[in-house]
Amino acid sequence: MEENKINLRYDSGTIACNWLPAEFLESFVKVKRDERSKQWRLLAIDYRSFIEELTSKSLVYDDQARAYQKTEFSLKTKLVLREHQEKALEAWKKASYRGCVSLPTGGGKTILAIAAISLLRRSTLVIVPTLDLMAQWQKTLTNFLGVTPTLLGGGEHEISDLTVATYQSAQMHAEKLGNRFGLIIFDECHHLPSEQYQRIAVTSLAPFRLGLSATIERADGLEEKIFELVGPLVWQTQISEMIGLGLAPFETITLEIELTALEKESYASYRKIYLDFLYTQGISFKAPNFWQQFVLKASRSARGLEALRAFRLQKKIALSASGKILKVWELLQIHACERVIVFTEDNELAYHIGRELFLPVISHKTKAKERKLLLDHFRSGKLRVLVNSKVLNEGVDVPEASVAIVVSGNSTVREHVQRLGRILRESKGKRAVLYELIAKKTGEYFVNERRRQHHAYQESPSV
Amino acid sequence: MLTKNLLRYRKRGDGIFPQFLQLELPENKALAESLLQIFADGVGKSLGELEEAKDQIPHKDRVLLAGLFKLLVDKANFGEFADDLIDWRLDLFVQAQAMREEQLFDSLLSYQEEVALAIETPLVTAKEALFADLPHERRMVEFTAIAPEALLDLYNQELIAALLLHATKLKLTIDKTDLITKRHLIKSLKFHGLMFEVLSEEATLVLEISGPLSLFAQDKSYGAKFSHLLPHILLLERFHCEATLFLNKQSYHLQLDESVPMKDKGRGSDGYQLPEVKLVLEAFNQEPGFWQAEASQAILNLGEKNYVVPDIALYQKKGERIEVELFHRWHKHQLTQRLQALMKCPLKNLKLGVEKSLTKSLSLAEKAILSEQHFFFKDFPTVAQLKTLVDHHS
Repeated sequence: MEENKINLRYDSGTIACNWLPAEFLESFVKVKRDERSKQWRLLAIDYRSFIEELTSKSLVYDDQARAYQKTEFSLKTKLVLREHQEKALEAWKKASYRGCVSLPTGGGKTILAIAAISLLRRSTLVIVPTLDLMAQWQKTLTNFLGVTPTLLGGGEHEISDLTVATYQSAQMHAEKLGNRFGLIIFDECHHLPSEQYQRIAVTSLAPFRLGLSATIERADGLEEKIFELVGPLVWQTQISEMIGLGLAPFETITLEIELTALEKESYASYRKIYLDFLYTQGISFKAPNFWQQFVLKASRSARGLEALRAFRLQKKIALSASGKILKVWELLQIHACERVIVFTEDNELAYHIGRELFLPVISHKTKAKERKLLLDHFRSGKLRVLVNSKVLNEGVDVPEASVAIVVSGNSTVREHVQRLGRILRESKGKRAVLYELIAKKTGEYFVNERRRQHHAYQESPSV
Repeated sequence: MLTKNLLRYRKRGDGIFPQFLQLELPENKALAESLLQIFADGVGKSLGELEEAKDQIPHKDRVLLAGLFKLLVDKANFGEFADDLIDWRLDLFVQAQAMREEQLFDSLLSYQEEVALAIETPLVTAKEALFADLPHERRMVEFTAIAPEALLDLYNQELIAALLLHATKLKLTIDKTDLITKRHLIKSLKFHGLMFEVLSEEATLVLEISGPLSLFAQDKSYGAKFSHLLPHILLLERFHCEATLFLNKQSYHLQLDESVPMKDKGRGSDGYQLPEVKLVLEAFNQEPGFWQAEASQAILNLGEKNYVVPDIALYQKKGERIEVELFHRWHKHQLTQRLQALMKCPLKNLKLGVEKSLTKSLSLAEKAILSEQHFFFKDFPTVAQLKTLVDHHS
């Protein structure tokens, strides 16, 4: 039965609507008929354009979909925006409060977000990739807004007008959170294009959206998806523009590590099995889908499976060459009084370094209590070295950290820039240094070459 | 739970066929027995050691072996490490750092030996103990034995559940249309926020199950909810289930029926009743008065595909009847939906019992509906609250 009053209701990531005039349906194509519930339905992400369309056509509606409200958020501590932050905020306003801002680590993304929250004064959800970042955001928001945000993630489940959630928890509860917030902030928004996390943006009706990242570009080109879900890139500042303006001067140093005779021999034999297979199968390194081709063909024969195993073993020898452990030991002695973060490609190597050098390791297996203890001690200087594989790549804010040692890593520019970002926060007299350890005459050369395709590296000396 | 890399299935055209284990096949039973023996002898051993023992089993299907092993690891108790280890480790790190800052060592080995000496532990032992709480290093403390057939049975269930995680839509045909089965399914669907369309309700009940977002995209988020329905479905005497899966960027069809090798076939939904409900019903019926209480058997239709499956029925012999639907603190979303449906289609004989904490998040209009004729409880309704309800009704 059709009624002449338009009622909007939020229903599990969608907006359900009892009735719409025929001429409206012709002009607004995002609405679909749902025969299951005899209603019209649209994705929550299209709520804003839907309301704008209803308003432009002077249609009267009863909005029971939106459950967010105006808030009293105001600054309790004076916020002094730097020039680039002011420009970024202005650009976001001009884009109707929807869009992404790319600033290097230490560029003041959190402060920019706080300025946005106090400007809009709407129920706000901040989404972050890690528990450490969640705690960091909670502390900073409390300091500036005088309101302690509730948390969703890491065993916490409390929703309020100011909530900080992890991507993981937000996606689990996406369909229930979708109408509670007017402003949604995606910290480290380069995570958003993952299939599961996209749901957070799609099922939310938040009309105002802000994406923040230091490395918004993705190797797979999926940054376009971020812009579709959050809004266009409205502002970008590069690392080089901020040296001396919040970021410390830095250098990156590549050190070649000789394999032992035994490692060389094993590496060569495994590498041969792998390369022979590629050659006989006609698989080229330059092919855009090289890896998929290799795995597909390898899985079809015993020889292929042997090549796959050989590939893994030769890679492992290069990534965890014993000479690298000794080099880390040497570097730690050189930088004995500085704060050092050691990065590896996998947990196995991180724990191996921890065991050999008696160093603390943080991985996703580290319990929350120990993780907090280790980070607190690292911040205070009680511990000066932390080893990790990837968990500290993003977000952990320790301005005193000045040395990074990349023992192994993948070839993505993003991972490398994020790792560099950990040591770039400016402090008095600080000069940061990032070491990359590369096993000599191995495939690591090419990995190193690919991940340095970022202007931060191209302007830095390499030894 | 079986992870994606442990799934065994074949693809033919757009069909996907799980490789079930035949429960009676001697070689399957022998494999299950070998693995169970490792766990039976495994108390005190580390996960790494158990894995090594598993790798010694000469079975050509390593994915199957790893899958069965994973299910047993999930069932075993590997215990928790005391926080003492964290404290010990932290002390060691601080001590080692102080040593690095205070002296220059000739070699890495001399540093390692100095640290081991300082903590009065042999170097090898210190290295082993340092991260002994990592999952791979943790030791099994308990394992409750199960029969080999039960392990094979569990494998078949988990195989389907893991595939259903990738499902975007489910069509379910049940021959047995008894009220308990139907109530059970509708209740489950509601609880998981799924939508359904009844395609046929005559000799067979045919439901097409999906979620609100399915209208727009192949949304896999309902897969986890579908897999929650599985235990209800698999034990039915006769059923046919057709799922659309979206796996590795391609669409597939999965068809299941009662031929899936399962123990205890045909047990069906047994109309399980919460002990709390049972106690309240008994206590209510012992009170003097004209009203009696029983577990509700009703399915009420509020229109627009909104079905109510009440929990309690209060009735008089002369025919008057009140149906009570209970909403606990985990039913927030379902309560909102119910109130919105009741705004359009009020049912005089339906009363809602709502846990107090749920009311915080309701709109004024929804609160107004609640205040009219429903009641609030803490944890579970009391006999006195049900008495008050029938008194007001009378």
